[in-house]
Amino acid sequence: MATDVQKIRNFSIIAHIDHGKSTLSDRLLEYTGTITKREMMDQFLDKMDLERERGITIKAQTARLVYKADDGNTYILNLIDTPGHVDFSYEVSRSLTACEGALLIVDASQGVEAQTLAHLYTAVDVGLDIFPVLNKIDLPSADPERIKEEIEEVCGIDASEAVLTSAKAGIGIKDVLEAIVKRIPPPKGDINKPLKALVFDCWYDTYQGVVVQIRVMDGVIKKGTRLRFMANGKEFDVDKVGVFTPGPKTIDELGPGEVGFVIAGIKEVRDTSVGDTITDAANPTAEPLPGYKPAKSMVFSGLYPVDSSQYEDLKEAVQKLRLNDSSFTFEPETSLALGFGFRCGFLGLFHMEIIQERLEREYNLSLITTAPTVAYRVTKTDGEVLMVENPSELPTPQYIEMIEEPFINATLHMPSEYLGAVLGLCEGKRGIQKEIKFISTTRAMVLYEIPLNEIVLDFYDKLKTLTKGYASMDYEYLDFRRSDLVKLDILINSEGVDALSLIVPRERAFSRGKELAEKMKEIIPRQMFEVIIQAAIGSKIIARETIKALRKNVTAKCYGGDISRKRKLLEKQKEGKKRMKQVGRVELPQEAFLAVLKVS
Amino acid sequence: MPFCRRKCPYCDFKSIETKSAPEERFALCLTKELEKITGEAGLHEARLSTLYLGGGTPSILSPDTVASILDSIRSFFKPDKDLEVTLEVNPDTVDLGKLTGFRSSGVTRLSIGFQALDDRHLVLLGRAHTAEASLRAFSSAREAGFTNAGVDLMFAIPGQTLSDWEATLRKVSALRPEHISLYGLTIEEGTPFHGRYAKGRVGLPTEEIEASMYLMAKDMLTAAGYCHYEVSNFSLPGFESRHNSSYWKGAHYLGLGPSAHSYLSKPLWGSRWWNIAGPYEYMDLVERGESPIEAKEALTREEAMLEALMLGLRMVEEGLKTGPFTQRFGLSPMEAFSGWDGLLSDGLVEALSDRVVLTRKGLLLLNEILLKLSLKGA
Repeated sequence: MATDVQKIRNFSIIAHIDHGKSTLSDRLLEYTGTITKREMMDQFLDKMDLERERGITIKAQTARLVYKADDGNTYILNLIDTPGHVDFSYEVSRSLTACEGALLIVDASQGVEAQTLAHLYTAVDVGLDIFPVLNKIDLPSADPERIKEEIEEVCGIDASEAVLTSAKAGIGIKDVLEAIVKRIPPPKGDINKPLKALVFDCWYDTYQGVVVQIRVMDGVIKKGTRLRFMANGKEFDVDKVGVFTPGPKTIDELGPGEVGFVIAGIKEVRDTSVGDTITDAANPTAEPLPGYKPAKSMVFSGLYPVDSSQYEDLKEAVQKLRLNDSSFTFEPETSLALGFGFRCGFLGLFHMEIIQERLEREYNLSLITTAPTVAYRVTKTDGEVLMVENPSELPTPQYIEMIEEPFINATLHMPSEYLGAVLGLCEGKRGIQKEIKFISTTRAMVLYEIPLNEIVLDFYDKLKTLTKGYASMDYEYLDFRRSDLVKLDILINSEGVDALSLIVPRERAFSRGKELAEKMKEIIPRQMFEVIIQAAIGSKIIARETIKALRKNVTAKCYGGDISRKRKLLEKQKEGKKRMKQVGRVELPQEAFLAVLKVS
Repeated sequence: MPFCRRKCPYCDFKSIETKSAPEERFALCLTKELEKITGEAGLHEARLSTLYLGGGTPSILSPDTVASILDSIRSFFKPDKDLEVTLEVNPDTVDLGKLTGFRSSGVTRLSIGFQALDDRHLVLLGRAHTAEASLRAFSSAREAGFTNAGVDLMFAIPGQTLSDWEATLRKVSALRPEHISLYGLTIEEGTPFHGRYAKGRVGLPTEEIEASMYLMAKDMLTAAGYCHYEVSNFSLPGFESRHNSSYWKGAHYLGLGPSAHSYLSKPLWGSRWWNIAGPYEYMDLVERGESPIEAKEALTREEAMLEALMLGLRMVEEGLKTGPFTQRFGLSPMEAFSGWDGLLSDGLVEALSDRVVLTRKGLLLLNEILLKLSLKGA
């Protein structure tokens, strides 16, 4: 029997990192007895180790809470967690579409941040009912009245009845649950209509195959249903449907308004995609749900094994990761300097870091990552248009008619005292100012159009440093624009190293080349011969640095008591060497390939 | 011998700073340890070729104590006729009378810690003696009848220039010691020097200067008739330290006292063990009849090969001998390790018919060379 829609509430929590989303989620689970305190690991919903370490949700998770409200009725509350990083904004919008309402958590002393706003606008766009929750109310610096005003002013939503909580101290948890029941509408949906369900997450499970998380809009799905993915037409027989409590629990069927999972012998995540609509192949719905977009890689970099014999291992690892992450793309690539590897596409820089870390950690690989880049649209003189994801593949200048690069719309929020610094940063990154707004007496917001490549390099780090971590940023893809760009090559002992090439604005080429050569000099350890680093545009050398040859490195004393220690030291150093990549005769540490991220 | 009058700020050997060492107790412990280990390892009546009293300041002991230690050691083994008995000497701890006493106790060879012959450098090194005291100790050694006396020197001392070093080398070679050890100052972790110089190496000669100092010494001493037989050691022909050479050639040795290491090349790929470092902890254990051994290791074939390579290449003239290596491991060094080609073409090592040796350039870069050589299949 499907649950009565009147007793269902589907909600999401919108918050900036650190404003307490995970802690509040934990308290809701705990209060409703969904999990006991004893079972509670901190921040239960963030399952992956990496997430716990970084304190951020990467894949969305859900939990079904059973709550007996003050009105005497028992409600099913589906908490649909959303990823907390801008790289995953599409996934966020899909998760929100699965809900009728959202809690907007705002830190009662820090106020509204850019990410909060970005997610809030998405929630408003998909038509959710939103109510604010002021968290960390127990802190001495909390100023709920001021923050309420700020919410009304900045977000344009009524904050007069904001719920006051301290998730950490367990204050106001029941108030939140009551507000969910009273202020979020029950789902609509017709059990008699053909099945229509939204896929808002999917992942690969070693035992079950692909697990698809859905929100049923109309109809019913149960074991035996032959489901069809409307985007690609693929069909599968449903083996199991269930809900997360938050552990998986099989149930008979999922009806309108319900949120749960489907297992249907799907082998690859690629067969499904977030945002797609599921229907019943025997009785299909006419129209899929609106808003489906295939995931699109925005940032690219080359991944190569340090030890070329690990290529097959890397191949297997990226294939496995792809099973679980359809927004990650890869294709084989060969570099003269690095050998066989993969050109990988990511949603953003953060996504890239996560993937790299998982490859190294979970698959025990030692990797060289080349500097991240965006995809450039190059029009050749013969009219051919190509997308260049690897700077070394840029055609030589005489064949280039024009190069276009992707621009983004960036929204930045910061305390007013850092406004100057942020403006300086954006201008330095070729940003075009669109708007400056003071959202309260102490907080400012700016809108900029910036080439994505500038963000990809070191924008976040700079922003964090300049504003002591108080600024936040969100962005969305805008368009491709023509720019005056050139390829900067790096030569080591006169040999070009393709994996170090990058595309830079012509006006910055000299300074970039010089800074990069200097940085490489710092990063590359001295060798037994002189190493010359040059930066070049075409055949023109624009910078040169010399790493002097190592003259003396010999252990002075090696007597009876030293032998064992010296041998162990040697073995350890040999291990360290294995993490270096030999390019020509020069041994380059992994950081050398990311040196461009370290220059201003 | 883990007792010193004064701790040197560059030295990482675990010794105790004291005016008077508990020498009787310590000597008894050595005997007791020896008795136990020779019994356990079945070393009774084993051949004894060399004996070395080193580590800390052995010359702090009285000649009587040294005599009793040597007597008891000799009584456990079958000493060679020409047994080499070396004593390390700090100039501030000896006079003619004491040296004469050492001589009659059976010491045949001295290694005198000059370290520097410039009082400014001695002060910087925190040494308790002057240059004059070193020279006096050397002439007293000759007077006491030592015909095999070596001196230790350090270079790349803070503030030392190439011409300072040249002057030191001239003075030393004029003395005609049978043996000269030269050690580039190494900043060891856990020493006061580490705190002072590890960051930035401010005040230390540059690597360029250090390399020049080393080569200058090699050239001057070779011209003066010395053989450069190991990375840091020179001797007049026939006066190589037999004791130290045995380390580099993979012979057995038994170490007694705190921090002492022992090595047996058999069975299999050899084994090694070493004693705990604390002198009083050592004595307490031995007196209770317990083992002072801190740890043991049985070497794997790969480890044994790496040690043979690391030690063999230190022998400047003799080099890594291919015959003994091949006999032991069933593979020649060329077959066992990869990476020789680049080293040969860069002129860092030289392959002769029966051995591999470092070139003049390679001598300065041995650690880097070892990193370029990898065990095949590893």
